Amino acid sequence: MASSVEPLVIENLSKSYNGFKALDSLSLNVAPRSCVGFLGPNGAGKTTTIKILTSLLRASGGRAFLNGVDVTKDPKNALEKVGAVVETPEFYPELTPVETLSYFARLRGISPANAEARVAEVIEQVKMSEWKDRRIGKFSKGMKQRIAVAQALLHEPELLLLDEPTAGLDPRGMAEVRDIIKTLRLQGYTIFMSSHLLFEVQQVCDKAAIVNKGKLLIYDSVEDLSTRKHVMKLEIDLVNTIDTETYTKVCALDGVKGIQCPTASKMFIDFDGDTVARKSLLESLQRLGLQVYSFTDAGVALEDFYLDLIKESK
Amino acid sequence: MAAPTVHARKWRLPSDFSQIEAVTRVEFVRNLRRKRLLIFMIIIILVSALVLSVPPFYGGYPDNPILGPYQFAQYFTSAINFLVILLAVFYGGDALVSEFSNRTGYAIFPNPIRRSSLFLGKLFASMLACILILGVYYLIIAVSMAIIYQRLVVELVYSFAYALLYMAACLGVAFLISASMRSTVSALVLTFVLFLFIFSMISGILMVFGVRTEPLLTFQAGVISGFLNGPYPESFPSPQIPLGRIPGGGGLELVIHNPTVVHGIAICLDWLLVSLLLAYIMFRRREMLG
Repeated sequence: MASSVEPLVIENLSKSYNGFKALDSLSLNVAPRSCVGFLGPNGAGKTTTIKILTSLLRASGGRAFLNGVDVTKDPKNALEKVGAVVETPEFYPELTPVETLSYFARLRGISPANAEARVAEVIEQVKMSEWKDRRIGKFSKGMKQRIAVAQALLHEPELLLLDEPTAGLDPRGMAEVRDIIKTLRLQGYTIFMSSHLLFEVQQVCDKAAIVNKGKLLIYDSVEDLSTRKHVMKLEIDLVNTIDTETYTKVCALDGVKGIQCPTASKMFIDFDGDTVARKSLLESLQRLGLQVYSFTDAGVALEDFYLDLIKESK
Repeated sequence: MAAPTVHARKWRLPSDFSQIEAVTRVEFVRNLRRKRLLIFMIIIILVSALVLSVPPFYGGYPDNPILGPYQFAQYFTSAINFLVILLAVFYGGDALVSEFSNRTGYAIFPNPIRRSSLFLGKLFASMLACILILGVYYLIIAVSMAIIYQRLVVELVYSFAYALLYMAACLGVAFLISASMRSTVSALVLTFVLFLFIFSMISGILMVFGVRTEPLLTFQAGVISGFLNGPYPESFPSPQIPLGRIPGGGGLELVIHNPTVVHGIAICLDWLLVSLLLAYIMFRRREMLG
C-alpha cells in the first residue's frame, strides 16, 4: 500500500491505445505542499496521466493513489479532496457560473448555506463576478477556463491537478491564472501541473518531471534542473551598438561559450560561471565600451536542458 | 501573504442518492431551459387545436353516449406514438453522448461521483421532462373530454400509464444509442431513423410474411389507443385484409396483429431493462478520448 501521507503517488502507470504505448510504467511521488510541473512535448503522455488520475481514462496497468486512495479502483473516494482542470472543459450552456458552481458544490457535499458564500469567493478569485449570473453558453474559452479553475478550487482540495491551465487564455489571462496558482502554492495547496511552457513551470513550480514517449526522463527541483547544464543564457541590452571588433573581444572573455546578436543592440551570451563571474563579465563588457542598461538571466537554461533531454530520449 | 488557509473547512462527501438527486435537479433545469421544451409545448397545442377544430367541419364530435368519449380520445392518442418517439429522440438521444462530444465530461467526470449516479440522474431528469410534456397532452384530452361530454373515462388513465411505460422503453433505447455513438447529431439522427423508419420497415416486411411483430417496441404503441377502443380489441390477430389479386395468379393478404396489454407491458419492460443495462455498461466503460 502506498503511503497515505503523499497526496499523489503513481506506480508503474501504463496506458496503451491499440498497441501504442501512451504511458510506459510511469512512477513518481508528489510531496505535500509542493508544486510539480509535468513537462513534455505534445504526445509525451502528460494529458493521459492526468486523465487517468481524474478517472477520465482507465489505466492499462499500474496504480495511482490520490491522498492514499487508488483512483483506478475507487475513483469516487480518491477524487474527494482533489480539484482538477483537464484540457479546456465545457460547461452546461444553459446554466450560469453561480448555478454551475452550486451544482459542483452539491456534488462535493458542501451544504447550500456554505456553498453560496464559497461560490461567491471562488468567482471573485477568478475575477468572474461581473458575469456570475450570465449563462455560460456565450462565454469565451478564457472565461470558461476561469470557471474551470473556480470549480477546481471550490471545495478547497488538498491536491490540484492542472492540465495546461493557461491554455487558450490571452496573455493577461495567462498571467492571472499563473498568479492564482502562485497564491495557491503559498496557501499550501499541493499542485501537479502539466505544461509545455517551460518558463511557466520555472515561474510557478518548485519541482519538474520531464516525460517523453510515456516515460519519465527526470524528476528534480527546477533549480537543480536549471543548473545541470552549467551554462546559462544571459540577455544583455545595450544603449549603443556592438561592432565586429567588440564582438570578437566579448567572445574571448572568461566563461563566454557563445554569443547570439538578434539585433545590433541586443546580445544573448551562453555563460558558464557563478554570480561573481557574472559580475566580472558585466564589468568587462562595460570596459569594452558597451553601455549595458539591462543584464538578466534569460531563463532558458531549463529549456536548453529540456531540449537536450528530449533529443537524447528519441 | 496571508497565512495558509487551505483545508480549513472539511466537506463530507454526499451519498450516491444525494448526488443522483443533485444531477436530476440540474439536468431537469437544463431540460426546462432548452428551446425544445417550448417546441414540444407548441407541438402539443397545435395537435390539440387541430384535433378539436377539424371534427366540427365534418359533422361534429362522436355523439354516441357510451362510445363517444372513447372515440374522441382516440383522435388524440393516434398522435402519441409520434410524440413519444420525438420525446425519446430529444430527451434521450443526446443525454449521454453530449458529455463526451461537447466536452462537458471534462468538467463533470473528475468530480467524486460515480458514473451510475450521473446515469440515473440524467435518466430521471429526461423522464421527468417527458412525463411533464405527455402529462400536459393527456390533461388537454381530459379537460376537452370533460367539457364536451361532461364525463371522463377511466381508460384514459390506463392509456396514460401505459404511454409512460412505452415512453420509458423508448427513452431506454435512446439512451443506449446515446451511450454508443460518438457525436450528438449522429445519436439524434439514428434514434429518429430507428423508431420512424427501421422499426416500421421491419414491421412491414414481417407483416407481409405473416410473422408476428410483437417483439418490436413500436408495435406495442398500439396499446395506448387500444385502451380507448372501447372495448379493447381482444382478437389476435385481427381479420386478414385482402390487398387484391396479382394478375396471373397469386395474391397478397396482410394479417393485422393487435398488441395485447400483457404482452405490451412485458415487451416494454424487456426493452427498457435490457437497453438501460447495456447503456449503463457502455457509459460506465467509456473513456474521455480526444
